[in-house]
Amino acid sequence: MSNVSNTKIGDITIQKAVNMLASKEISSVELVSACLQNVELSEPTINALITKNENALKSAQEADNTIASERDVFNKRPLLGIPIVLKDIYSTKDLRTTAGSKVLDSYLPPFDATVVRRLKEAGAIIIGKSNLDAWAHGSSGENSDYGVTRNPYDTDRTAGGSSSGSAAALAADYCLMSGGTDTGGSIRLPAAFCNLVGLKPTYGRVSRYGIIAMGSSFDSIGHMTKTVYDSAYVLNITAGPDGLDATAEMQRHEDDSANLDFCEGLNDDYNQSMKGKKVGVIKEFATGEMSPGMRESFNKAIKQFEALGCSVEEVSLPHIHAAMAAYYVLVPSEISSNLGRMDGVRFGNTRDTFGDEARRRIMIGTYTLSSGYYDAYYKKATEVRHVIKQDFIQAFSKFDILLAPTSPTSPFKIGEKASDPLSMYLSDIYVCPMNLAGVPALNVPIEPVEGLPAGMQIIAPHFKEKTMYQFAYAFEQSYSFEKPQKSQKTP
Amino acid sequence: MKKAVTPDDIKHIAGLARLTVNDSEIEKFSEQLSEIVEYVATLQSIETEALSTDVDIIGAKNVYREDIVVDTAHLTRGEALQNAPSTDKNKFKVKVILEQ
Repeated sequence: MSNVSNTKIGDITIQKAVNMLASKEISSVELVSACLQNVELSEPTINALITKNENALKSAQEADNTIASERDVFNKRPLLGIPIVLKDIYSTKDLRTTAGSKVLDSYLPPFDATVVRRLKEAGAIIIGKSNLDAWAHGSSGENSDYGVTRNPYDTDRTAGGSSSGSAAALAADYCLMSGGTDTGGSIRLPAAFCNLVGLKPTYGRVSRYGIIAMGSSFDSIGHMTKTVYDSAYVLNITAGPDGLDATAEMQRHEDDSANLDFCEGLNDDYNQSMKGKKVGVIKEFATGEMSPGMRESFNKAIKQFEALGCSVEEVSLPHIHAAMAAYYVLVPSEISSNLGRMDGVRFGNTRDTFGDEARRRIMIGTYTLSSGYYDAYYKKATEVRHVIKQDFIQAFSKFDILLAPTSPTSPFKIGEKASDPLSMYLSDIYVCPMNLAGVPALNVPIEPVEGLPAGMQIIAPHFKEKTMYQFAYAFEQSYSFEKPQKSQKTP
Repeated sequence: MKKAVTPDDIKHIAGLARLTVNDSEIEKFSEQLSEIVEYVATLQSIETEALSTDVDIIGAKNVYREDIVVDTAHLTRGEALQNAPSTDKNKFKVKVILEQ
């Protein structure tokens, strides 16, 4: 029987929870019980989880035993006793992993992804595996084979995708952090829809080993948290080279995560670090399609950087409009290759179980890679990708960070875009270019638009997450606004 | 006007990708894929240079490691078989491909 808990998860961050656990002000059992209560309360409506971890409370008890018996344990195990949720695309040993698809309906991974292993070694407690667009194909959560996830701020609306369940679970207080993946905006967009800080790290910052692959040259393994500090704190744990992923931090340089503490400088002295810094607003996006309310909120947010003492200017990334088209050649091509391993022979159900969107993307990829079409599509798209990456590098020669809106719209109603695949793809117009270029980007909440969550992206050069976090922290600490209200059906 | 991706194309692609597409779905996919392919065809208008083969798109150069077994990345036979729908004498059972 779980304890009936009065703990308000909504008021607690990872930073606060670690202090409370260390000082014995709270126990992990109390934290996890409160989360499980929220799950019970909201899941019938929100549908953020595909699988619940039956061992969560037991792990919480073990964490409390460790905290009681070991001194300074949080130095070695910085997430000990902290409840988290992981996108159901992360392989978790012996805990069902479906990728949101009936193809893997009863798949039990025989191993942990590297990121999962690192989070477990840090002491984190997995509450459950969160819902997603099947295979991470989507921007709203509506492509899940396990039903749509509803937005805790308005349950008639989507939570964004593809990490829909991760965003909703955190917003509905099931956990203090949720792991996701971002291949074309799939962390940043749901973070914006659910008023969260959402990290897409530099491609190659976090190991992809054990994360079911969508687009292997695009997949970035990130997470959502309630604050910028929490985001940096978790990246300290997940980042770093891994002998099992040849693309993870393979070059030695000053921005190796081994040399970095992403939390450094995220304190009350943030003001000093902002003076004279150069902020560039991506011109093509600032003047792009946006609701008037979104434009107003975005413009107000930009001004805050001027108030902090930065110089703020528009900068053009002249080829950025081609990003979406390049994305929809390259990513489906990589998808068609990666999903070839779902053979129904070694694991999973047979390929006739694939849903519509997966089949669409596999077919587009097969088409663009096929004989006679490869040069016109895949080869060309790779050249365009290179040009877009150079646009970013050029801009960063003049600016410390770039700003862009995250979504052209507020969270849209469930069903609104579901019947038009191309219209759904265009939800990612402001977020997918960063995946082409490989640069890191963070969604931070900005003033809500007509009561609904809104976000903005802070973008940094490759491997400069530390810079990104410094700007994001300064913004978050100095810019206050009335938070959006959650729906009555959530805590 | 001829669609970019015809119903025959769909049948061909589905065969290549070992996907099941019912007759009732072929038209729908033909329309949807045509729309998408027409959209991505806009890439042709972007001026680009051919890339030499050593241009690094994702920042990866040749990455090597010692050819030894890594403990954390090695499955036992039982683990490797644990999700198989059909096994026989501790092996994956598959359909016959080649007849004698």
